[in-house]
Amino acid sequence: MKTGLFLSRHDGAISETVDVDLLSGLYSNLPVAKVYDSFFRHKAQTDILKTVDAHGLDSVVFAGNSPKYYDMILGGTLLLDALKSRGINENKIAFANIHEQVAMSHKGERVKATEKAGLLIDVALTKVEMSPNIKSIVVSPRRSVLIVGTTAGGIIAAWELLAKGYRVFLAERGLSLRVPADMEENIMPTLAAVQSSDRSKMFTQTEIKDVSGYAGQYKIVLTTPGGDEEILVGGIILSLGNDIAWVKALRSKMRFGIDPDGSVAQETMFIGQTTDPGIWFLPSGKEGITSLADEISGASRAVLSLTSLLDANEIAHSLLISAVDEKVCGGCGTCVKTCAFAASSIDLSRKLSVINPERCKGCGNCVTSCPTGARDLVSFPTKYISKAISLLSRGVVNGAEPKILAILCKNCGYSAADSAGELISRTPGQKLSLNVMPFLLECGGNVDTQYVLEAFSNGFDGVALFICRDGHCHNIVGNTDMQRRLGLFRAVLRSRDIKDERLRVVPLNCHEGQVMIEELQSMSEDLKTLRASN
Amino acid sequence: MSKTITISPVSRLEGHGKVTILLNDKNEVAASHFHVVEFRGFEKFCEGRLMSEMPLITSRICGICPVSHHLASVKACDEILQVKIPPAAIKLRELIQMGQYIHSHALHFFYLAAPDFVLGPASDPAKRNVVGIIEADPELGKKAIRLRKIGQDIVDRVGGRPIHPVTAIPGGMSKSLSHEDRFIMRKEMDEAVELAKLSLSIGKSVYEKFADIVPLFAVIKTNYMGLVKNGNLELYDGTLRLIDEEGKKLEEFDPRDYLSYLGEHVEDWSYMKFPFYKKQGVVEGVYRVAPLARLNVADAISTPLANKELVEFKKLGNGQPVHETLYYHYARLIELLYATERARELLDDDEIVSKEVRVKVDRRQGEGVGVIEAPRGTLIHHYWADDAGKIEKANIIVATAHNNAAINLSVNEVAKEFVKGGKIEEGALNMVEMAVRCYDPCLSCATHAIGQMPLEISLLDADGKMVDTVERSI
Amino acid sequence: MTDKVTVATTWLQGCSGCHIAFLDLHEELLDVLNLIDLRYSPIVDVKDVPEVTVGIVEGSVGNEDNEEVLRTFRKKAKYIVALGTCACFGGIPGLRNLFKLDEVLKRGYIDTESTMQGKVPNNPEIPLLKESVKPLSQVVKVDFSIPGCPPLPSAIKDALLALVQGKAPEVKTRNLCEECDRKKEKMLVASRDFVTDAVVSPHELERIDSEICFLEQGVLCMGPATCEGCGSRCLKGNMPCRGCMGPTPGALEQGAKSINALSSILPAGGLMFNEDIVGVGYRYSLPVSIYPHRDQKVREK
Repeated sequence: MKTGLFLSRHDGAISETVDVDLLSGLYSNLPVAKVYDSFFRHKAQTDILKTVDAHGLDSVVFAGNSPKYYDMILGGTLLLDALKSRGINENKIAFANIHEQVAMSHKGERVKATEKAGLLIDVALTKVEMSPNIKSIVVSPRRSVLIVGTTAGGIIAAWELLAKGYRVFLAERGLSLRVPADMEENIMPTLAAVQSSDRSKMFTQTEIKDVSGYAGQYKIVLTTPGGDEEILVGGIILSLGNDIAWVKALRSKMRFGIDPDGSVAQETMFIGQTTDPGIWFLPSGKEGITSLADEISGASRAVLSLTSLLDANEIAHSLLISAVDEKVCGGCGTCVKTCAFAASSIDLSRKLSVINPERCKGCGNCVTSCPTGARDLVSFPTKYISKAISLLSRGVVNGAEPKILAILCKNCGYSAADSAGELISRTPGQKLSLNVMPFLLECGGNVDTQYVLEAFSNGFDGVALFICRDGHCHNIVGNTDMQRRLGLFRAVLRSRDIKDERLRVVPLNCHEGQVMIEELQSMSEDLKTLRASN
Repeated sequence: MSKTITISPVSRLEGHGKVTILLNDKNEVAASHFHVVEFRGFEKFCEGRLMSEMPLITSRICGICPVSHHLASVKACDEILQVKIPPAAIKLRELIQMGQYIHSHALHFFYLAAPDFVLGPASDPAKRNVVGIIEADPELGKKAIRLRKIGQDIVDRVGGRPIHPVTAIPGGMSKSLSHEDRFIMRKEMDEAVELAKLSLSIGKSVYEKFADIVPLFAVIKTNYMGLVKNGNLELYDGTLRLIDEEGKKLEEFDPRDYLSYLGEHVEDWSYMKFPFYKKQGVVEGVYRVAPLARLNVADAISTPLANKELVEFKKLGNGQPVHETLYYHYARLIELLYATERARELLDDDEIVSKEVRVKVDRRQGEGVGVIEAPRGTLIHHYWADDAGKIEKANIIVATAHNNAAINLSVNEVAKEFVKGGKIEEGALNMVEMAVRCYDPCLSCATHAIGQMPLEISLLDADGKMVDTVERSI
Repeated sequence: MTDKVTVATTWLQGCSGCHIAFLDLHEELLDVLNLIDLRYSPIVDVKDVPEVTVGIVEGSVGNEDNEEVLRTFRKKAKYIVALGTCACFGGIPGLRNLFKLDEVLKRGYIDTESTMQGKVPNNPEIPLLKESVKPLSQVVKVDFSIPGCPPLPSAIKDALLALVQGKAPEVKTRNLCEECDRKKEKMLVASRDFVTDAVVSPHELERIDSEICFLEQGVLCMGPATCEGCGSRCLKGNMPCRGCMGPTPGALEQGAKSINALSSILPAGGLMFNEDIVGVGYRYSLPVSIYPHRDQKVREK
């Protein structure tokens, strides 16, 4: 394997605290270990790509900003897309967050911060080393779209899609349209055009019963007044206005994130994009007040992006759960009861578990609940997690400072950790211990109770888990299941004389960096007291 | 200058044993110590376990008499839950117990003890084992195997598994007996009775051969204890009767009151404790359990063939209990016969296939004692449970423990015979082992642990220097 | 005689049930004994352990003597076979690791209600107990394993036959649900509902159904987290699995695995209050846990 390590000074913001030049010298065993002022300038990106080509790199570690940053800026998305188009598998790109989660939190502690950054880089290198390539299913996308909800934007989107030759379905829960009174008159002509097209069909008083599949090929079952009807589309646009209740109801059918206020969350820099590339939403303004101009621009944006995806000849859908290991699966059915997406079933003739890729979201919950280890989450393989925990257990400061493993779910946990870093960098008096070791996992559902024992066995004083609040888990039930498992597991910890204070579960939302700082601080105090009393 | 002779391990025991013989200045045997060298700690690690799981956990105290632990444990649970189990369940439990007796007593006689008698104590050690018996007399060997198999088959069918059964649960049994299982076992019982009779006749002929040794070998006079029911030999549920060395009844009590009568003494040289009769103290209060004791204690046996044998056996005591340690084997064979007869009786009883084998019972807080006669003696399980149904405390006195003092005394008698002038005579090793083997000690149970070790006799002087040695080492 | 594979057996801290299982081959025992040359065993009288090809060891390591015997066997035998769950995973005696050694000794020899003026035995003639119970593999190199408490006699025989033919014994890798005949219904429904409202012990059920999966009756069954190979006898005896075959090879942390799984199947409150998840999940395999002993200092030694 040929791995390239790229480190960023982030124009001084990182390098004033973390000595990236020193670090690059420590990785002479790698084919490439190079430092840049920033990854997001054209010159740097050209150089990175040239370096990849020149060395024939097949895996890359970026030591710089939070991975979430890359999704939020154009330069980041372009860079990652360029790497993938060169054949670097998405699972062979890893990030060491040495900015928000190191430099920002530990200003003035250059030597130790650099050491900590080194540990995070080691973990990222381990990740690309131990993670297999993610395989994909390739599908021919359908040029048809379901628009859920009939806001003005939704109707406009329908018209634009029809103009591009797409088939359009509109599904409305209520009796009438969601268009506000002051826009009705303007929307009427567009609506008439939509309804008169032979490539459109509108359903009212209709609920979404079931959604399966992935971008390019969704199968949707609608419950209409006349009975259930199945439609096949390539993409979905959510135009729900301010209907928080409907958002909540749809979350279990389609996997998308929600903001603290309950509205659909924007996951990337592209306004209206959810975690699922085939599902877009039309944002409504504060208290549902948008102007017609905003509705039009929102609709146009969504249509442009969705059609550029669906106009392609093929779309690849990543398979994030490994195939079931038939030597090990006894068909017990635990995965069936675990999956929030009904993606697992048992083939009784062979007593084997079978995953339906059209329903599987790759959340990893079944990987955790499987009692024989018959599955693995390829984006976070079990062996990698164990190795990472052992690497991080080294800590950075020896002595009285408790070592805490801070497990962060990819959604709220990780964002809160980034926000904690930003808060610390701007606010004097806020601090984070150098011995808090951040560790990214897919979801609360990805947390095997065994990892907690591994952490303690390796020498961590405490394990803190930061997950999404109730109702906000991207995978619907990952946070709930983690709480249940760890709740039961406390009995195991007590049986090993591991005190309750050493495990802490903190649900929070993405902006609650302050909460994270306070919880980690108080946990540190508790652990110091515990140590003193021994 | 006093010396110490050590024999370790004693072989053909179920467990780990080691013997030290201490000599005084005159090179006479001063004392003998039978060391039990294993300890697992069931009485502690059962704390926090669900009470209803105890029959499944404590059966692992022993792989030879797991049924005894399983049943004693579930009886304690039944008492905590204050539940009266259906009569069919009692019969099924007794049936499993008979199955165990058949397997265990056959195991001991043919696989462990018999090689001495059938092949002779001076025979080639490499052959002085069950394989040797099979080679010397294949027909007998096959019968021995057959008899054990019938016993294990009962445990398997009624208990779910031949080793570490599962079906005795608080409130009764987890499943009833099928007609098919009953039919098969009932047929086997006729064969088992015949095989038991054959074993007894072999045993008796051996005694004729060794008639002159019996009164001299390891004879001690002790009290005796065992369960009885209306004065009859009883293995599942009854009252505990304690008699003295002349046969006079000292006590007969509800076994649940054992703490009022029995105590356990600790010596620092053995992991097995020494139960004793409290009223007479640690030294005088020594009593024996298991077949010899049970037959001494009982007035009669409820099954005809075994009872006839008992009457003949009791004559050996001349109006007193039979004290000769070598007669343990004889008594064991009579019990084997009883077990086959009793199993046959139970299988003839139509209630054995009743479907009413349990009552639902909810967990509760309480204290319970379950006492049963295991093949090797009286077994006591005593639990305290909280209202979540978890064990707060457990006290377990296992069968062989009651014989601990007696084993030591018996070894001492043998040592006095075969260790003379400070030297270990030829054959002493095996004589000492033979003495221990009479008791069929299950050292698995005894310290709730088992093991096997090399055997050596060493004669050490007061400075710990080895003066003489006979080895059987690993 | 020279053609036969030479075998020695012994038992350490176990209950001897595995050796009895071997004897439970009954008539087939004679066939097996014709294929091997049994040179040393607790049931024979031979003095020294000779050099043998196969050394079969039952029981876990709990005291100094166990360790010494095991090491001697390792020296004398070309291949060491761990016989039974105690030897492979520590077994039930491993539960002692939930307590400190002196607490265990104190209960046994001083605090028990029938003990009079007790003291903890301590004498050169008796071996010192190890602070922590261990399976064989944590002390010496183990070549083959036959798990089970005890293993089926047929499993022991098959393993011996394989060794005699110079092959490795078969290792089972799937969980007990593979072998178990009970019907699953609610377990197969793709919904997040627990399969029952409550968690109970079998004696608390109105009726113990002999056909349906125990989990669906609200009874904790270790089947999903336990290796197959025992013939699911307990299930046929109308009782749930308790994990005595030990964990499946890929999931040694049997307690954690069972908790991960059960969280999706049975109500957490019931599991927490009505069950002893530590004493069931780790009953047979505590010594092979990532955190095998209560005392961190003992682990670190």
